[in-house]
Amino acid sequence: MFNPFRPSTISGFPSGSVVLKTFVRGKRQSTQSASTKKVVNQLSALSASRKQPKLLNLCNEDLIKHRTIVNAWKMFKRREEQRRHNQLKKQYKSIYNAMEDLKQTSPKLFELANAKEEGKRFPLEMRVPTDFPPTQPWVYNYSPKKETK
Amino acid sequence: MRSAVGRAVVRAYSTQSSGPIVSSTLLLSRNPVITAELQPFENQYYKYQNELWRRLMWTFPKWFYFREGTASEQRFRQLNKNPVANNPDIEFPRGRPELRHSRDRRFKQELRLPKTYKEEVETGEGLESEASAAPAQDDLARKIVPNSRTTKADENDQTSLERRLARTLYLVIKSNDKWTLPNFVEESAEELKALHVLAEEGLYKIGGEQINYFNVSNTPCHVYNNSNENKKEYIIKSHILSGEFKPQDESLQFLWLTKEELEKHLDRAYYTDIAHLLSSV
Repeated sequence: MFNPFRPSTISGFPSGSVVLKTFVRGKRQSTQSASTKKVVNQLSALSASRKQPKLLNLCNEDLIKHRTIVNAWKMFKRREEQRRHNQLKKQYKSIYNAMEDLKQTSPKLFELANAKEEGKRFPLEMRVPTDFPPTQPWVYNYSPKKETK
Repeated sequence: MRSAVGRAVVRAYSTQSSGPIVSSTLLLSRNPVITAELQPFENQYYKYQNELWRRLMWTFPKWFYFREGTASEQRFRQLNKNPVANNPDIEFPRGRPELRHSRDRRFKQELRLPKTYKEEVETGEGLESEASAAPAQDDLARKIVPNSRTTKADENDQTSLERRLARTLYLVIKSNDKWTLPNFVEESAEELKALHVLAEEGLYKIGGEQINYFNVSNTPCHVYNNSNENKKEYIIKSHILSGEFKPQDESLQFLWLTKEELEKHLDRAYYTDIAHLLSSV
């Protein structure tokens, strides 16, 4: 029977001996070291656990809507591509015709036009279009290089 | 004797009086400075895809970017309120919230990140205070405001290179009361010049030498048979990179136009002949 006034006895220890027990008041501390914690934190940012959203479950009507949108986009892209392809084809044909014509009209000019362009480089000044213009949209102060003699 | 030599010289060159005159036309373009305008359908589709992408995105690992107990974490918490909790005592007619890492995983996560500058929503003040406390230009924490996609030249300056930044512009000049692409004819029959050299010299002659341009190729990209003037116009393509077209002759009129504007300015037959060379972007 449990008697609170009786001195407690733990088996294996003689009665009356002191029992050492570490007790920390407040929040429980984790046993991991700081560096381990850091790695765990980093991995948790990468892992999918508890971070994935609910699966998209479209009803039939929504599914048809989605497919229609995607089909319309594909058609739009295909038409654009077709237009580009046709234009390139026309441009190629027109270069071909122009050169054939030049050959007939003036063989010397044809040779000059066909000459190899040695040392020609793509200009570094040419800009890739950006979403927003630079503060100075166009460079006006250009002066041609002085020819070295 | 002299006439025979003269005839031989004449025959050697293409600019014979009998055959068509060979001339070189310059198609000088200014490439777009900014990206092309999106079509309405493209805009709608991108918006739809963006919404889908946001809906399917993983939860933002807030604990990784904002450590607990820091000032920035507190600011983040002020901006992002927790969603409605899944209270078992409440009936949810549109489905129970499923919270994971304080995000309702049925919906997209809307995040507002703390900014380095003061937002109007936060301060709750009008534009007057904004203007008075305009941040210095060298302040790294200032709000970045991109430049406008339309410029002053867009209003009604068709000779400016800064107009219609999203489009390719082409140089046209007025000759004989008609807008045409600049066309150059070999004047002296003494020496034979290549077509691109002829075009370059002609351009410098009418527009000054302060033009930095890139000649795409020495080969002509098109031939236009001008039957009115008995001319063969070989078209050379070039891009202007910097500098400015300054007409050397005061009376010379010039314009920088897009493809659609060229259609209005050029002759109908001339335009349809060269339309495939022009970019619609």
